[in-house]
Amino acid sequence: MVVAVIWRLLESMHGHLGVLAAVALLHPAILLRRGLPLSRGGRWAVGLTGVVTALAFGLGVGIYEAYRELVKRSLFQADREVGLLFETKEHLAWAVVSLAVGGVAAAFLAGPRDRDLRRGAALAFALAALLCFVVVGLGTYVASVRSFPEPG
Amino acid sequence: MSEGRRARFGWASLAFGLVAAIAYVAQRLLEIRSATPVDPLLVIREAHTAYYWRCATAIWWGGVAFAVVARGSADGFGLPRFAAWWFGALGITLLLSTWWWP
Repeated sequence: MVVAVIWRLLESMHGHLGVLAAVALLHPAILLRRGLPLSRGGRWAVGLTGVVTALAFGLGVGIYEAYRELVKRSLFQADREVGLLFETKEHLAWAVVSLAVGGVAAAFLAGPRDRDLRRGAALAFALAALLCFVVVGLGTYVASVRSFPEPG
Repeated sequence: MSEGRRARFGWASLAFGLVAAIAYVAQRLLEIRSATPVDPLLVIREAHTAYYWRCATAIWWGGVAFAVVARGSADGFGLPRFAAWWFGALGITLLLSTWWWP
């Protein structure tokens, strides 16, 4: 019972962090869109966005094996198409993380005169945010069909 | 680190992010093309190892892109015209590819 609660809790945290990451990724996209140098607060925002995105992804990877064992079979039994949407979500999540990593590094490495580089980072963040919203939407839909079993 | 070098590494990081994302999806499409259409039974049975390998290989390709761009001259870099449209097109391509061939 305790184990079931823990998996549900971790799944819930994964979902919430995903939503947070989607919103957080929009912030640097807006901050950097004009190519102006980042303020100290802006640098914190970019760094924390990278951390939140990595945490959401890492937690998803962490709970996957239990998800495969306890949920995935019944998900495909319930609806094959929704099961495949879970796969789509996984693939897009990788794109989100790699774009966010590229964006964070570019934003931190850009010098005072590298306007274009910052605008490029903004585009990477914007694309990552867009894909992350799709990932979050798919994740919410999939979880509404099948999720970790309730305790008891 | 000199300013030019930092800029080169910055552009190289962007290249890493883009190439790693594209390489992952390209690998998945190649897997589907060289094997059978997606079979839910196999999806359920498949360990996550394949995912980790795809990610690792995508990182490798991203690293290659990083190295190639980092060796260039920062003066030659700049956002191409209509860059936002290119990013948008890439996003739609990734989205549709993973949707149609999960």
